[in-house]
Amino acid sequence: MKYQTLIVSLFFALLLGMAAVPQAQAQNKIENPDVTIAVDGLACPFCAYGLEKKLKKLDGVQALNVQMEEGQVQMKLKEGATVTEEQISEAVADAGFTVREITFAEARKGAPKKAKNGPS
Amino acid sequence: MLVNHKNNELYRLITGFWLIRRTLKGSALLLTVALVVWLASPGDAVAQRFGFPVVQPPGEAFRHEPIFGVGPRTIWKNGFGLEVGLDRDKSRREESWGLEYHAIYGLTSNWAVTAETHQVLDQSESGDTGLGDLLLRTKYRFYRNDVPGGVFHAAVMGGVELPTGATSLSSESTDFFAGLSGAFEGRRWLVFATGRYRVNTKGTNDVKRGNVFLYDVALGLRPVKTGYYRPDLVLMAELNGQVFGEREVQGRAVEGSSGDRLLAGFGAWVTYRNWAFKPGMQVPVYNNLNGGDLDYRFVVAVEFHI
Repeated sequence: MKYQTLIVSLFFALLLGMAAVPQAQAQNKIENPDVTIAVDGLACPFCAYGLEKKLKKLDGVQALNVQMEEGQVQMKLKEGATVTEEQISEAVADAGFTVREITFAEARKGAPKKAKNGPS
Repeated sequence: MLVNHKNNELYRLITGFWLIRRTLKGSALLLTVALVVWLASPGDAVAQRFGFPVVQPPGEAFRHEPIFGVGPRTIWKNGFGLEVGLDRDKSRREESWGLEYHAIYGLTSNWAVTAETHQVLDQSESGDTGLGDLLLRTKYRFYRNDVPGGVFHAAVMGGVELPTGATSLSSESTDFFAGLSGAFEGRRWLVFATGRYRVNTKGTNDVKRGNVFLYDVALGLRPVKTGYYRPDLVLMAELNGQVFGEREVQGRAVEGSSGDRLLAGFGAWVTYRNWAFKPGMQVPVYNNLNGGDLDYRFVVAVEFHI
């Protein structure tokens, strides 16, 4: 009987944990993303969590939308913020994936490919 | 109501729900209903929801790996994962319940280290309970080819099991293993193949257990391709082979102590973002082990990453 309780507890711990995960990005197709990153290796949602974590850590990222079927990540930046291709590529590599292409929106074009040395 | 016979157990496995109901009684219904409701929550218009009879899961797997084997997956750089699993083994002579604990850390996106141990909660024959030995292992993914919607990858792995467990549960020897795993993981299909070899050294009681060769092949199917923000379901079927070398006592081989067996495993991964629920069941297909009979084994595990 105690093991049944343990199984049920494990299951509800899972449900509670999932409920605690921020829902802000649920089904959020970002309108007019600032950056669109085509990513290879994006096969399973569970494995893609690392991609979300690494990209969200970049300075200036306001929102992300991971699109499994399209194999891409949409990124919305904070006002006035920039991220470089190098930063994005490094974050994707650290997550265990490969960047196929990075596309900046028109308004964000001209962003440096590499980070400048010193304060901007 | 249930005749305790192998064939009958296999029949109940096939019928799924009834095996779970027998083992878990009322909890199984609650679990199945909860899973169906959860999967049936509103989502993408093109996604279909269905419930799946929860079978128990196994303990070796991390992330999307074969349920009773290992795969080449690691974890992202500086990522940390924790898994707790409840397992039950039943044979003609003995029934046991246990907990499995796994922790994984990503040194890089292709190199991970893992620590794991097992805790016996109840054993019907011996009554021994407590913590087992500590296993430390590392996995290095030396090949990775990311393609749109999939990945081909391969990894080498190695580890050591330290005799840290309770006396009655410990191997009392320091044992080593090495292995190689390859896989293709796509949006719909997943295929794994792994080989591992374990070298058991002589224990303090002058007993050397036979070395073991393990081989696994697994096929996974994602019946519905859901988005990132929806629960994801993968069904898994595996064949797990085990070849045991001869045991030695005081330097002399024990006749008839070697053998091999083949097990079939079935299970599922139900994941959402950084959480995973992994049930699985394993039954023998072929058994050529003296006294190594197993009626079935199942595990249910919860894993999360941070």
